[in-house]
Amino acid sequence: MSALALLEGVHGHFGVLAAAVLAHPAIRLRRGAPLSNGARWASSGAGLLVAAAFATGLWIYPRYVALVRPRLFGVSERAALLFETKEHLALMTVATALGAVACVWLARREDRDLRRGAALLFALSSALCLTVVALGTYIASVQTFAR
Amino acid sequence: MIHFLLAFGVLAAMGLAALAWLPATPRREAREARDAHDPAPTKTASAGEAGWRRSSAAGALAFGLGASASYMLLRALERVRDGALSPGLVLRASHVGFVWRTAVALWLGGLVALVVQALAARSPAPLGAPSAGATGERRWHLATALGVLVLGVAAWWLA
Repeated sequence: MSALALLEGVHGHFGVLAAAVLAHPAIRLRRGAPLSNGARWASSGAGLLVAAAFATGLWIYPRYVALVRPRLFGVSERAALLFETKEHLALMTVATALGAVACVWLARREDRDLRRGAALLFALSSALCLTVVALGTYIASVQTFAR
Repeated sequence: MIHFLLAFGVLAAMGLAALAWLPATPRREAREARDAHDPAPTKTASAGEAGWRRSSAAGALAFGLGASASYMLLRALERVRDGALSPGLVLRASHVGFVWRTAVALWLGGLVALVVQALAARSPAPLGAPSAGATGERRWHLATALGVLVLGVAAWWLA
């Protein structure tokens, strides 16, 4: 197995885990109740996991574009264009998750409305992440570094 | 190897979730009871600091939405400039476009956050009270959800 194929697998697994972990703060914050320090660190961990998935994706991106994407276009043009869509949704996932994490740390005990806003962003981020994961799984079934 | 990494990731995720669901210690129970029943504003923060934290938290939420909207706007401008996407163009492109779009969108998101933070700091809403009523809050949430939905559909259309 090549290092690139390994990193591609790690990137995918980070994405799946991020989609699951992002749902947790969305549920915890839905009523806007203040979070304990542990819960705040847990939501920060979710943000970190999303950032890690995005960072590993960016890391392999130049090689993916040079080596895999031309073959992907050869096999399925539809899958190759869905890769473009996946890029856009991935950025939105990271931006919404990071904004929500920052809000969780900054909001005061009384700011229930802001925490509910953060819960909404976490939920949206989780849904976007799930979509990205589904697209990534489909694209990987068509063409990967390993194939 | 990949199975080891997956197992490690699952354990890490479970650990993160467990942080929030651990049985409460007496100290934590006391803190949560105080959080639930004490309607007074944060006692340790000055009025200025409390206002700064509230406006900054609003700015953080605006960053999430602003960066996403900026990214889609940049992509839409590219589509208007270059026309419909063709496989030949995609394969010949230098592919640094995504990295640049990401960097510029995050920067624009930061600008949106600063503007919202400044506006929220000037807001006459009393500290310690939600700035919007329940209806206003629901409207804000609905507008946010619809906005992100529109951005998602746009992402699909923009390929």
